[in-house]
Amino acid sequence: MKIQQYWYLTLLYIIQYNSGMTHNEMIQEHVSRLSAELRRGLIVLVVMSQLDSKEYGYSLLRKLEERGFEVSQDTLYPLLRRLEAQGYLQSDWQIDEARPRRYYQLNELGSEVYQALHQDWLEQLKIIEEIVR
Amino acid sequence: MKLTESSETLLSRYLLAVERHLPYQGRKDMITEIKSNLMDTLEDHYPADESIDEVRLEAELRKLGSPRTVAAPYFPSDALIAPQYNTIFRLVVTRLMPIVVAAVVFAGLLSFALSRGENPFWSLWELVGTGWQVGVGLIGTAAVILMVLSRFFPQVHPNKEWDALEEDKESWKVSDLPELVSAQDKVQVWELAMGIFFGLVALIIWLFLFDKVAGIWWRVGGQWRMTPIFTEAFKNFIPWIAINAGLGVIAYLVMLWKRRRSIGSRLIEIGTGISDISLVSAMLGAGTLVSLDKGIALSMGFPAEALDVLQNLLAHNAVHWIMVAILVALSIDLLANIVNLVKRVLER
Repeated sequence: MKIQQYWYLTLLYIIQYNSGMTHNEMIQEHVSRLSAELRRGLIVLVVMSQLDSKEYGYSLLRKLEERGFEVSQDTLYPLLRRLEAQGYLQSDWQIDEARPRRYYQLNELGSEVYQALHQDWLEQLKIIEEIVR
Repeated sequence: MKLTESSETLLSRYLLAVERHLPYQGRKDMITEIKSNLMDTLEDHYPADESIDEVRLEAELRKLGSPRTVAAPYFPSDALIAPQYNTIFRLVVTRLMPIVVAAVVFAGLLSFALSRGENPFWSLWELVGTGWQVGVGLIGTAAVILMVLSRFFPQVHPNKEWDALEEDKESWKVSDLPELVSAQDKVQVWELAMGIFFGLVALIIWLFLFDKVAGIWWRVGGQWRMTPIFTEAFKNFIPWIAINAGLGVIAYLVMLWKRRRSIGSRLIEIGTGISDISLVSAMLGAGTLVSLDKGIALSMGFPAEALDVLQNLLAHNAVHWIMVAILVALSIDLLANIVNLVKRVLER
């Protein structure tokens, strides 16, 4: 952790202490912030894992929420476009529904990349489990 | 879920505001998708037969955030200058700008020298200002152009900067690494640049403008007037003085090239120091170097009281003692340079 982050955490602690938060609330706030950082690193893997079939933005958002992985709209929607720009997804507009919707799906490259990424993640997970006992 | 007429208007205005903050490239497609996702959200939150008025819609939109915050994630980077343009910007700041500024300064000094100060492009102070304006203007213009490109075309080669770094990661050589520089050998580039600039200005003055500017200046009747005070004996030393000033500039150039004090630059400094001491010693034995013709000065309107003070100083050998002080300072500097050179040689 960089020195600036220690300063930031100390400052956050002072602000929270003086704002009348309980110790547990303060710890919870730290945890949720750090947990969000952890999740942020996994969003690409999680999103790609759901795109072996066609999904549009909101349907994917709900699907992830239902499975307990919360991601905000302003993170997910631009991410889908970025993954498409990087060549992992294909998309098409479907206009035969109530309103036009853009559906995303992994293309061939995306599927291969996802398989490799998934494998890599499983290996990393084993290593991390060994380290963080 | 149905929107009232006023909430339809609010929604359209909100989407228009979001659209204006989106990247120019692919903007229409993005806003259509944002609208589609927003309508899906509203449909999910409200039953099919429920009407959403302006107040409820505003509450929903507030959950999403301001138009700017909704649009911001659609930019690959929130940096004012996108990462793919960093290499260009760095080249402009570290390579192009110094070359252009140096060219402007050189052109200015050349015009000064060739016209012997009569009709230069810029006066010396204007030259400093012009150099600054050109440098800052070039950086600012590049920044504005790259900021506009980052804003409107953020998707152009978004990974290029990263790829360039990857290439750089592979292609470095040990021989490219700089040598370690000890504290005694360290030099500051800005000090050397200033030394070279003022050294060149001094050379121009000594060689081309001495008769025009060297003397005592006084403002008489709203006009600056000068009376010369340096004798022919002093002027005989000007070529020697100019050679020493030139050697100083060469020493700075060598240090700038090597980015450190080298044995070569120290030898030039010592050579210049010996030459300076010899020069000052010769000047001390050369008779009267400075004299003031009171008659001429009074005819030009110089105040008599000021002339008395100056003549009094000259009568008490002020020039001689100033030269002695310079000689002492130069000797100390020379001694320090010799000691440092010996230490550096012994360390090797």
